Amino acid sequence: MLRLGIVFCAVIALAHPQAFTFTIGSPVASQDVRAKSAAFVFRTEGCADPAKSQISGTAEGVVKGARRSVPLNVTAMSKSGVYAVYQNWPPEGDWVVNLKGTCASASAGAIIPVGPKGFVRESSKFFPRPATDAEVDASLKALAPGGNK
Amino acid sequence: MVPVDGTPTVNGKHIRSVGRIGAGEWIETDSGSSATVKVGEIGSVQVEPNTRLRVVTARPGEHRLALARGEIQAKITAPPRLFFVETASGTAVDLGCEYTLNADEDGFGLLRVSKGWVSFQWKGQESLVPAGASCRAEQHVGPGIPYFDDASESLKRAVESFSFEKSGQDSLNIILAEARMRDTLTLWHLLSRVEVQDRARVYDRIASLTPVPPGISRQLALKLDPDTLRRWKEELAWTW
Repeated sequence: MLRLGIVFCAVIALAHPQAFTFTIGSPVASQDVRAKSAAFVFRTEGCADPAKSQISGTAEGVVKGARRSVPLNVTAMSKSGVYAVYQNWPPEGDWVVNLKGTCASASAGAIIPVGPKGFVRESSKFFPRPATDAEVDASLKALAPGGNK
Repeated sequence: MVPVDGTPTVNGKHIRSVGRIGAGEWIETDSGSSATVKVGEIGSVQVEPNTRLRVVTARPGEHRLALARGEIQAKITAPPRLFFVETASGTAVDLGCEYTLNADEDGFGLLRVSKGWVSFQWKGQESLVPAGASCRAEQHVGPGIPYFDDASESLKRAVESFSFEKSGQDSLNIILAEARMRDTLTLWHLLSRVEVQDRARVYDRIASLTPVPPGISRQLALKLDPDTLRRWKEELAWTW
């Protein structure tokens, strides 16, 4: 019976490998000195070959009432699957980083609010797919004065 | 060296314009003076008023200063472990960073990191201080336990008491109660500094704040196995 239980657990594990996701952190998490000026770093998880994952993103913001979008400056770090995001969006206004990634047939997305004190972990959202425009807009709305920061 | 305010001195001589400083020479500022010191090609050090600073080594592979008293702000762009600042209570080893280091003549020091991270070392004891965190140090004791500047005031006071007043259980209880997920920086350092019988409490508190990664053995962590602690720290850093 124990042997059957062990085989059953192994089958479950094979059928449900870890999902492809992002994990975010402060620059120190990268263990790479090139990240010291980064806004934050992130790593991919659940990707069998991180070197083949495709990563992209934009900084989405509202500046003086006008909606803005800036392609992200993302740099791969020395550890495979670890990346740094450097701020290339203006300091004024409200901003979120919209991350997208693919690994083979799997996708992942994340919306990370960023401010003068860095990224806001508690308000960050993670998805098993790219975030929708509506989800990005909702995150930006939450940053505006009177929103749920 | 470039005077910013007033007329700082090098080896007792007032400097009014750009000057060079070599190994063994002292830089001193009074209440009305400050200076910027260019450190080779790897960065700069802002020398604040009322500061006394000596150049220990100045060569491409190693730039080493000794801060006798006062405050400096370092901005270093070099690869890690090329820039060092010694104080009576510990040596700040640059790991790619910007930080403020304060020391007084009684050997008390405070390291506050604004970018990157710094290793604060003394006689084999090391504290890793990332951006947004600070670490106090005392002569004959070395660096204390680092804490994030946005931690609760109760936690910060308890860390100081535990590190330097040896207040034991009371401080430990407060630290464990007040710790948030990112305060696992403090808790990880605490693990190797509490009494043996208290290690399990610290381990369990970390585990309650963030899952212990696969492959990190509780038994080995409680024995302070260096490889286990190093791997755990690398994972915890993703929560800091």
